[in-house]
Amino acid sequence: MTTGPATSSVPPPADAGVGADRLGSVARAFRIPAVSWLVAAVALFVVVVASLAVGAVDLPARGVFLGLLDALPLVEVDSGLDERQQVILEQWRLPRVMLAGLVGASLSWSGAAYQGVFRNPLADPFLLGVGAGAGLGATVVVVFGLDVGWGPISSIPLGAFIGALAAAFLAFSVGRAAGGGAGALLLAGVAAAAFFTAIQTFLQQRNTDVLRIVYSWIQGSLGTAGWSEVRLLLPYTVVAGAVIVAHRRHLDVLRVGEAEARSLGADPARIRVTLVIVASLLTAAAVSVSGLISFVGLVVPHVIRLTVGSSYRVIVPLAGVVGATFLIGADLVARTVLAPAELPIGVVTAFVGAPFFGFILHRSRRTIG
Amino acid sequence: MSRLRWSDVEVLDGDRLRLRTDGELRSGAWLAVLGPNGAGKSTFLRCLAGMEDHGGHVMVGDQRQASASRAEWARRVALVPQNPVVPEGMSVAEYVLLGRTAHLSWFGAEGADDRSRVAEVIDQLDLAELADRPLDRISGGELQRATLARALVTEAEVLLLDEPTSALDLAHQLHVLELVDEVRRARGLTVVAAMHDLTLAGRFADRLTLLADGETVAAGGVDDVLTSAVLSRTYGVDIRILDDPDLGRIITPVPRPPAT
Repeated sequence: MTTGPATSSVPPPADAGVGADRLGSVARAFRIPAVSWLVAAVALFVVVVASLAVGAVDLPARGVFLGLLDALPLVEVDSGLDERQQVILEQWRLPRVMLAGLVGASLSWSGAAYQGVFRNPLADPFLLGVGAGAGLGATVVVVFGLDVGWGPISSIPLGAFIGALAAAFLAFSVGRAAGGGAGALLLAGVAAAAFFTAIQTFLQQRNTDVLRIVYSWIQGSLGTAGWSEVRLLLPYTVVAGAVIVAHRRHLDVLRVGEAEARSLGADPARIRVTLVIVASLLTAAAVSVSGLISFVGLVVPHVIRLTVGSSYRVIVPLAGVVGATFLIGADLVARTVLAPAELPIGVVTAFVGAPFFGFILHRSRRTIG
Repeated sequence: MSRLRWSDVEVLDGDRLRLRTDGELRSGAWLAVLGPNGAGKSTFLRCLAGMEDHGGHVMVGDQRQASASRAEWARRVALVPQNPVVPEGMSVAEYVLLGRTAHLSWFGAEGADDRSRVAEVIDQLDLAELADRPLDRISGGELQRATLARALVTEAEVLLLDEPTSALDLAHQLHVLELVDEVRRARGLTVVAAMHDLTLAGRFADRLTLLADGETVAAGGVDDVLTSAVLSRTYGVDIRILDDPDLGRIITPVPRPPAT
């Protein structure tokens, strides 16, 4: 229950103030949450510099910062790093940090899109069976020793990508055949995930010798990250992210239900098809280079919803930045706490993320969903 | 300004007729749609709003509903639903902004034009103090005004109201209808309202349509439709009409004498 003062529905007297003053609350309702953006940007910057500096060989933070500037086009500064440090920064740390950021942003955008389209606070990027499909694809490649690599793309990511798309396509076609409503798609996703998981479990049971390889992929890792993975994911993140951001107000319209959304001039069926396809593609691309990293896509939109505001006009753009920050930070933890060994990043996202989310949830008086 | 026309509008549910109606309305008029529960009032409004599949044609000016996109039609016809969905945590201003959906730019940002229209309507409907308050923390009357504001920022010329006063107490019923009448005059809107209160319908509307079982029983001005004989037959209860020198027609059902 709220504890605010009782409110009156009686309009204020006519001389209570006119024009711009009284409209202050309209402007306030539409203002960009500048403080939140500032906090998010500073957090991203700090976590990026920390991730680049910390590792098996520590680099000076000042040198990392100047090295970053130097990497920008048209900027020439002397970072003060020696040649070996320069190589570590540019060939090891930088692609890994960028990949973590891209995966975090991708999963968070997908999660926000799914939560909005399905009007379901439990929706996450793996809702339509994308995770199970990717797992099956990776399993098939490992079990049968398939060499389906193509150009710079190695076998497991390609298998995972194809499996993820197959599962999403199956869920989508079954859901469409059942009317294409949010409930039908949701249930078809559950069925597709169960089906693909069953095949995956069967294959793994029959081939226990490869279990470790598959298992470590499924738990998620950015350990093999290089520039080629970044180049693979970047176009998906940019294009799909732009499409989802462009639909942020459509996601707000869906909050009043399909009938009212239609009467307001929106086309809920078209919005749902567009966003489900785009978010599934984005998730498939992200998991194919990183494995199944849970919790990010579910929780990042909720953290923004609980701390900044419930409008997708705010949630969607911020989710990219917050998701990137969260996953870069999680990867930093994953590769440092047990160094030189690495924790699966999915373990870190859930182990660190769940209590943090519980704390936010506990403190918040706003409602989810 | 353009008139609203509907011809051969028909909705069938299997073999059962839910609605069959023809008519037209000059721009700036107020049409009250009357009838007992299940007569087809809401179905009629949904047909006009383009939310229900139907036979026949609906036109605003020379724009045909069948050839208009969702957004094009929403820019001409706006609906205030009977029981609007209230998304938790959404502020009044954000809710009113939803009315600009049909004017979305391709990247979806709200422009200065959207904001100024939202601000203008919010001010006109006395919602300025509430603009950043969540919808779940305002009263029923305030919510009604917010939903009306959302319909007005669409800049549609036809405003459909589905029993706009059913959730409100007596004072707020009158206030909302007066408000609708005020914006109708100020903006030259055409109003189509499904109404239960026959006295208020007679006071505000200049055209009336009485539906029963999906068909038009009576249509025309106050004198054609609001007669004791027509109403009693349609509602299946004795209805008396009193003439008050100040207030005009007061329409009230007459209780049956207790059974002996």
